[in-house]
Amino acid sequence: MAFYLASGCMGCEMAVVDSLHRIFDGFESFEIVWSVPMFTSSRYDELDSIPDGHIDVTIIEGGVGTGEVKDIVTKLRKKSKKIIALGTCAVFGGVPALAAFHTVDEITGEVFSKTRPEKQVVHDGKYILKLPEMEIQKPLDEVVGVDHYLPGCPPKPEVIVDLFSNLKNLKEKWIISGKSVCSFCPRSPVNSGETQASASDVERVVSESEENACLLYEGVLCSGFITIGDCGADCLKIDVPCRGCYGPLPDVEDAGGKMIDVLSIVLTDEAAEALLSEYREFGKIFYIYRRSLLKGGEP
Amino acid sequence: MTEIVGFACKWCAYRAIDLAGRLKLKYPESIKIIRVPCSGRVDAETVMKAFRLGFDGVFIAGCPENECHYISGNSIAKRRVKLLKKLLHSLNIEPARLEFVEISSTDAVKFADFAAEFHRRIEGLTRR
Repeated sequence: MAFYLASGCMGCEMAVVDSLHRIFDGFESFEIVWSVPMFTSSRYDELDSIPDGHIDVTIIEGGVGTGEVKDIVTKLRKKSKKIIALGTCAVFGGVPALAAFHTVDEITGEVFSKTRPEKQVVHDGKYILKLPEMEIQKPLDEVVGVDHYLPGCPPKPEVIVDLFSNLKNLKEKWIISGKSVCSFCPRSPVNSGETQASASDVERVVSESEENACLLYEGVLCSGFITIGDCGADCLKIDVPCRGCYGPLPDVEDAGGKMIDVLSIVLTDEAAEALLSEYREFGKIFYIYRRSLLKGGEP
Repeated sequence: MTEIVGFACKWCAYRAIDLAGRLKLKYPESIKIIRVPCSGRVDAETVMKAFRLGFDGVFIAGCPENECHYISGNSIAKRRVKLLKKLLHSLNIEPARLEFVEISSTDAVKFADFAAEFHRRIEGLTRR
């Protein structure tokens, strides 16, 4: 096996650690041949000595956000029989993919202001240190082929336990239940038999909503209906609307479009006006956790 | 060449477009019409797809206010286009490339006028 933290936050690998006591036995039948930066202390150059197709399963967390990551995942693809994209960043681009709404220059300018670092520095007169070239974050499968997708921000430890116990006979491309967050939501109108309501105002947080009423019908921007529900609707159980962290269901072609489809039915004209006047732009609300297809490539 | 796709509801707008043809009214050949059961059924996702496929402009033509065959389809479409324009803006697509228009089934002239105006408007924008 191999593990690699690409342009992610390490949350998904921590979720693997969280479930480690339950998957420890499974690890006995596997050897971790290369792993950065968790589990072993492998180096980049050690990857070159692994023969092509030698690694059975490579688990990659995070999308592709720098040239360095791109090189490593391309190498890993050659060396591995199977690649599993772990977590929403690897599967959909994740929150960092919001970078697609800006250019690389804008982002580095915002972060480093005028003191932009040199692309290459010579340390102690002999060590050449190169900064990896930043790119707009992409999901893994825009760079290399991915065999299995396991979204989540991070995926629940139980799901990871399932993944490791089935590691040798994975068949489905998507390692998900295929149900939306609404299917698990205690507020789902299906449970209460409630018919469609018209929201007259728009909010992003739950204020004094009726207990167990569908948040969307109350005018709260909840993206549960397009979101993969393997989280078990945990947020909804504590009155937090779904932000879509597991990413859209595989048959959702354009998450932003789908949100608008439903909002234009649920919201009244006044609520739609409120939405338009309260938010300066929609892109970063509707495409959070998932990359917009329209923006693909150069901005 | 400019390519525009228009979704026309079969009860009003499409009939007006049909009538425009029978009256031999001219409209720009950049416009391709797709007949739909109701303007309210044109998904925002479909519109996004049209832009992704490279269409320069998209319009949804429905019934005049309060004359929808399905009660509220046209008002849904109208609202959807309004919201969608803002999303398009975030995606670096000029909101002017998308429009909702109400055309009654006998108003062929309105369609021809709208088509010419919309084509001119899209031509005036920088190419996608």
